[in-house]
Amino acid sequence: MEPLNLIIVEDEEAHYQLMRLATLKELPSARIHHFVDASSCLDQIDEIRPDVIIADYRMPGMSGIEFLQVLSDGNRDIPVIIITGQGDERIAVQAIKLGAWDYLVKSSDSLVLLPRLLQKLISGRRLRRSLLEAERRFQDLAESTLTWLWEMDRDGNYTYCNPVVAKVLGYPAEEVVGRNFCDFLHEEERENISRILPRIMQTEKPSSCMVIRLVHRNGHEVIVETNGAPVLDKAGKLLGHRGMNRDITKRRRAEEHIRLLTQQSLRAQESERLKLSRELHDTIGQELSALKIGIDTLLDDQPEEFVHRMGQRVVKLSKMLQETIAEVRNLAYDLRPSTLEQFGLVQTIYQYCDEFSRRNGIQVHVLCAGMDDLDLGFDTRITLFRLVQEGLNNVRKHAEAKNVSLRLVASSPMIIFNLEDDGKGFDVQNRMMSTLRERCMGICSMEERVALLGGTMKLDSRPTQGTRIRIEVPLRENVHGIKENHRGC
Amino acid sequence: MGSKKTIVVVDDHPLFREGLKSLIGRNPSLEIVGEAGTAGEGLRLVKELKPDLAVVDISLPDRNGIEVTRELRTSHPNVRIVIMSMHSKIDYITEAFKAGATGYIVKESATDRILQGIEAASRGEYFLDSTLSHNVVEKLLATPDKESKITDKRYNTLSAREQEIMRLLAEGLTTKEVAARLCISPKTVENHRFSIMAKLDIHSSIELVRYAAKLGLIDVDLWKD
Repeated sequence: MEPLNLIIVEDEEAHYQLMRLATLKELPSARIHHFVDASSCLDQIDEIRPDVIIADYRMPGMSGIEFLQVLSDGNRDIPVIIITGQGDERIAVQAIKLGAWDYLVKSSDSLVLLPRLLQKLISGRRLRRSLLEAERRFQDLAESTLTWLWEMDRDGNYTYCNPVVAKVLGYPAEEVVGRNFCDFLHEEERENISRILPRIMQTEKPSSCMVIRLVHRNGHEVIVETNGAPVLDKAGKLLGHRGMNRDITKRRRAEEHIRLLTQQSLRAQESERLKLSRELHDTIGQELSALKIGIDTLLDDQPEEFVHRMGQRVVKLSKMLQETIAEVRNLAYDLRPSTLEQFGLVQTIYQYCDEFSRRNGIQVHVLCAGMDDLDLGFDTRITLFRLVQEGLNNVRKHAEAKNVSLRLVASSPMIIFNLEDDGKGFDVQNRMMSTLRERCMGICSMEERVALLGGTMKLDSRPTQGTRIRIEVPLRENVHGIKENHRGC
Repeated sequence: MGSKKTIVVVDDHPLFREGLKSLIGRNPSLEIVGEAGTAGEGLRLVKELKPDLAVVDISLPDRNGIEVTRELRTSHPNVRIVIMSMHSKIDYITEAFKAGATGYIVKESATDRILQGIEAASRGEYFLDSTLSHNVVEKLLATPDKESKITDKRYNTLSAREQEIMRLLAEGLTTKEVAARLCISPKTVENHRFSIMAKLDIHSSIELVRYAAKLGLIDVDLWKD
C-alpha cells in the first residue's frame, strides 16, 4: 500500500508540529505537506494530489468553510477533516453539510483522535479500492471469457448478461436484459421447461450441467450447458439466480456425428456379415452339397473294375467335402445366426449359450423373462445378441469361470441384461493396464454398442470375486413398422 | 411293385437338383416327374402332377420350405414332404415336423442316407437324418439341463405398466412415490401392485423384492447369497 499523502493547512506552527508528530507516530510512512493558508494550498493541490486534507477552520484569508466550498466547486473528491475550536459545533455541522469527511474539535484529546481518524480513513480507502479492484476483475473476466454470464430475477427475467450473449444468441446484452429466459428457448424445449420452470426458479439449490436448447437470433438451434446458483438476500430470501451458459452446440454436433458414424459402421458391419453369411450358406454351401452328391454318384454307372480302383478315393473326397460343408455352415452361423430372424432372440440366445456351454465347459445359466412376445426392433435384437456373444467371449478368454449367469428381463421401459461369472475377476480401476488391454477392448466394444442404443452399462469386478455386467437399454418395439418407445407419462 | 413313386423336386440350385436326380435314379421304383426352382412354381407343379412326394429345400427365393410344407399339407394332404436343409439346428427340425413334413434331411449327409430318407418318406415313414437324430435325442435327454435355461412364465403375463411398477416397488419406492413418478394416482398403483402379486403368486413385499432380485431387475450380488 502506498504511504498516506497528507496536507495540513494550519497557520499556527506549534499546532502544526503537534499534529505532524501525532500523525507520524501512528503512520510513520505518511508524507505530510504543510501550508499556512488555504490559497497557497490550492495552488499546489493538483500537483500533490493528497489522499486527505486537514484544515483549520480559522485561517488567515480564506476560512475552512470557504476552502471546502472551493474544493467541492472544483469537483475534487478529496476527504477533508476540519479542525474547529471549542464550542464551534455549529460550524462543524455546516462543514459536514458542505462535504467535509469529518471534523475534530481542538482539545487535549484531538491529538490522540487525529491518527485514529486517519486510520479509519485509510481502511475505508482500502475497502473502496479492493471493491473497485473486484469489480474491475469481474468486468475484465466477464468481457474476455467465452462463457455467457447472466443474472435473472425470480421470474426468470434477465437482469444482467455479459457481452458474450451476443456471440451465443446474436442479441446484444441490452436486448436480452429485461426479457424472460423462456423467450429464447427452442420451441420443442419450451413446453418441457415451462412445466418445470416454477420448480427451477423456486429452488434454492445450485443447478449444474443442465443442457438446454435455445434459438439464435437467425433461427438456428443453440445448445448450452447451464450452471446456476440462487441469489439470496441477507434474510435468506430468494432474489433470483446467477450463473453461466456454455455454448456446446459444436461439441454436441460432433458427438452426434461420431455416434451416427459408429452406428453406420456397425450397421454396415452387420449387413456385410449378413451378406457373407447368406453367400456362404446359400451359395457356397449349396454348391458344395451338390458337388458332394455329384461325387457320391460319380461311380454309379462305371464298370466294376473302375469302381474297385477309385472307390476308396471317392469316399475320402466325399468325407472331406462333408467336413468342409459343416465348417462353412458353422462359419455362416457365427457370422449371423439365421435363427435370429426365424425363431427370435430368446431362442437364439438359448441355443448360443447351449453350444457355448458344450464347447467350452462353462455352465451358462440363462434366465429370460418378459422377452417372448416382444417384437424388438432390429437394432435392439442384433445388439443384444452381440452383447451376449461378446460378453461370453470375454468370459471364455479372461475369466477362468465355471459358471455364468445370464439374465435378460423386459422391465418396461427398459430391458435389463445381467451377465455374471464366478471367475477370477479383475481390478476395475487398473483395467487400462496393458495386460488387461485386450479385455478392455472387449468391454469397450460392449459399452459402445450399449451407448448406441441409448443404454447404460455398469461393470463391477474384484480380483477373485468374479465379474458382473449390468446393462439397461430402452425397450423399443416394432409397432406396425413404427418404432415405439415404452414410456410412462 | 406296380407303379413308380412320383417325386417333385423344389430347389433353387440347379446343380443340386441335378445331383439329386442322379441319386434318385439309383432306385428304379422312384421317378422325378417335375422340378421347380421357386416355391410358387413348386406349388403349381404339385397341384398339376399330384406326386407321391415333394422334396423341398428349406430356403427358397420366394418363400421358405416350411411355409410351402404347411400349405401343401392342407391343400394336398396325400403328398408327403421331405425338407432338405443346410441347417442342423433343432429349431428348424421341430418347425419342419410341426408344419407337417415327413422327413428332414441335411444336405451334407451321406448320399446313401439322402436316398434312404426319400425312400422312407415315400413309404409314409417319418425320417430324420441319423446324424441329426443323435443330436435331437441328446437334446431331448438333456431336458433336466433345461433348468439352466428358464423363461419365467409368470413374469411373462405382466403388462408393460406392471413391469415398470414392479421394478420401482422392488427398488423400495412407496406407493405414493411410484404414483408421483408415473403421474398416476396412488389408488391405481395399489391396483397394479395387487395384480402383480396375484400374477406372480407372491404375497409380501419381501417376496416381491426377492423375485425381482432373482430376475436381475434390481442390482444385487448373485454369487454372494
